[in-house]
Amino acid sequence: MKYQISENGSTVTARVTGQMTFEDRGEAPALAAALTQGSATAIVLDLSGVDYVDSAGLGILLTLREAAQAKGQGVALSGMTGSVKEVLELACFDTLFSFES
Amino acid sequence: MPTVRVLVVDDEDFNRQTLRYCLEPIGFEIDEAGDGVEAWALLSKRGDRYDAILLDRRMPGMDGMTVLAKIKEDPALKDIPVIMQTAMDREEEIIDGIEAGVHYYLTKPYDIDVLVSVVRAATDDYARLRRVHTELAKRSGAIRLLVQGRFELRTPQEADALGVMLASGLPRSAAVAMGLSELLINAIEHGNLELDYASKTDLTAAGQWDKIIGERLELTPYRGRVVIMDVRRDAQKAVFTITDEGKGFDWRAYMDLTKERAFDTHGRGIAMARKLAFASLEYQGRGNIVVATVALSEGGLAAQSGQDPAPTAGHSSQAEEGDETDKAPEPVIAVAGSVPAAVESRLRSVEGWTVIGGGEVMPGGDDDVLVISSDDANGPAGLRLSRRGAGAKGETIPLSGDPNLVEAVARALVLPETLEIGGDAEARLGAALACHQQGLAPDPSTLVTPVGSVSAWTSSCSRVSGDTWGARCLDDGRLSIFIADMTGHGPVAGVNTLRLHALLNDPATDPDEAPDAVLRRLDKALKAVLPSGEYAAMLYGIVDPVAGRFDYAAAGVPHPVVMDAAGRIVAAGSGKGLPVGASGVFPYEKRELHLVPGGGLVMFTDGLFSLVDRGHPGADAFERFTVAMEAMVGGGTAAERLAALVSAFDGPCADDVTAVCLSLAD
Repeated sequence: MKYQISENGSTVTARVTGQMTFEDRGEAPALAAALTQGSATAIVLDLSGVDYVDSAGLGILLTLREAAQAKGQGVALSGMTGSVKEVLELACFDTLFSFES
Repeated sequence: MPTVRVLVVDDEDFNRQTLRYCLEPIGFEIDEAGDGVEAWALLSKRGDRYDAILLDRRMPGMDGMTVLAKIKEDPALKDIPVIMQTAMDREEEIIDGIEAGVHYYLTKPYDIDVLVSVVRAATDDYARLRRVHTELAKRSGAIRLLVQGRFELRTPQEADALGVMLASGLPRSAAVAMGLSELLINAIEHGNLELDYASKTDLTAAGQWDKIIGERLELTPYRGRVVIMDVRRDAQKAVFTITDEGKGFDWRAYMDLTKERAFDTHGRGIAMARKLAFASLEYQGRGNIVVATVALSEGGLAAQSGQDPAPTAGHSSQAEEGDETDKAPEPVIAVAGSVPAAVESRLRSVEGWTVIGGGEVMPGGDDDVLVISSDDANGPAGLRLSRRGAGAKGETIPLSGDPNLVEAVARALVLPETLEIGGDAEARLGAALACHQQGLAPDPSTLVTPVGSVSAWTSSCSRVSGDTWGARCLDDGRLSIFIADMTGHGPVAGVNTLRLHALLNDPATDPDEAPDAVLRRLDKALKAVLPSGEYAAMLYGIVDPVAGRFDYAAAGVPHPVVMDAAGRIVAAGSGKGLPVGASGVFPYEKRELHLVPGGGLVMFTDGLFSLVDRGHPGADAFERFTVAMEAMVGGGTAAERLAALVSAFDGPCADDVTAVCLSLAD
């Protein structure tokens, strides 16, 4: 998993690429800190460059959501395709995150 | 020669008489008890007169396991060897017995030679233990001032003497003395003298073993060989390294007393030493080096021989400084009731943990304490771990008394990040977790049900699986069944599967609880106890054979499918749902699937998709699964197709896989 963070007004966006798996779980705290430290009120995770998510990858998303909630920020997921979209839908993540196309 | 007295406990007169006729002529005194109650009356009055107890497992009233538990709880009786009589094919009974502290087994009908050898082995071992106690009592324990040293020895007699000397002044010195001499004698017999296990069996039976040892000690090349004992000690531990000059010893089979060797007359010493005396025991090199570690009390060396480590009450000194208000106080582990000494000693050996022993003052009510106590409902050696105080979340996990297992679960509950410690230590904890996990999944052959038969396939990408499954026959002929996939894999996920089983088997809950209610309960409970980002994707359902229906609720797993008798997929349900533990308040809904008589119901974790990924990237995983199942060469039933699908895959798997198939009766 790799990510690039950009800020635009009140929205901070992380463009994540590669796979989000068990191997990446250690990255979650750093990514959460990077997304929540500024003054942005909305977080967007652009997952269009992600081609595989396993259960621990979904766990990373949950950890990010908790960190954001603690700061009063909302989290949206965008750009999912293929198996990533399937996995997120099967796990009803649309009830926790807003899905943007 | 002093009298050797054996208590024979059996409800069959004939068996008691047989044992008397076999043992009295060769010098044993026999007392008889016709049931557990009578046995306990004798033991509680004059238990000290017995050198061994021959205990029948199955008796009306108080059975053998109950008598055993009472013996093991009594400090005056717990060391008396118990010889359990059980049928050779009752593997589970043997394993239960080993866990409960039975080291000797006899099978009916009795083979007189085996009977005599096993009773002799047990009474000889006990006599040796008492000699060791006497020897230890004579010693000042000044050897504990030794910080580092090397000893060379050649004979079993020297091994016994050195074992006793080095153990004096250590916690549980008698067990350590027995353990050290066992390891040293093993190094002499099987190392330097190159005698193998089978020849010990034969020569012991023929009464020739000691003679052969004596002769070999004088023969070339054996006579020039020595065993070296290196000792190193600091405030926390004493480390004993024993090196022999033999060709190596295949220690793997001897680290635990197994059901395969339970009926042997010897070969249990290493397993007993490991269980009773040492915090850790590791063979190295080609098996000619063994390192045994004894944990000392936290504050320094144990004060006296034969006593447990000095108790250390209260919190770590940091917590008492009072200047760390931002940090939660370090969790404290309290050992209550009759928890095995090996478990307590193991917990004391973990760096930085405060362990409070039984009888010591517990911290106040709001402090976070992990309580480890005995739990009879989980077998005679059963334990339970629960949290108390401000950090308590109503979680209780039943466990066996394996120190490795208890350490692993305690780490996961107290400081999960310390469970992934790498190297041998993680392998040791992982092996214990994997073993316990295997015991939690049901044996499909025991699921005798009018519903049909259950088959299951599991495969793990690491030592400990994050997947698990279970099934239970309900009173009215229905069958409850679940599959679950905890986040990630490895030891943390493994402990989380134990948590899930504990919640599902909680005796306080109704076995009839509706599937959606079960998931709502688990969601709430797991949300409270699991660290952020961890959860369980799962499916739980109840098969009703009368209505021909599967009522279920799902939490983010692949869709369950119904197949007909010809193995065609005729219906797919929905596995959609937020994984349990992710939100704590998700409104799981009840779903249903209509079953086909003679057909099958298949459910699986998403690891199975990694088996059907090849060659079809991009396509919907569930569609690929459907195609793969339908395309199974030769067709067959649902179970046969699933078996073929799983076994066709031979590469390393990327994820844990669990697939369960219920083959329905016609």
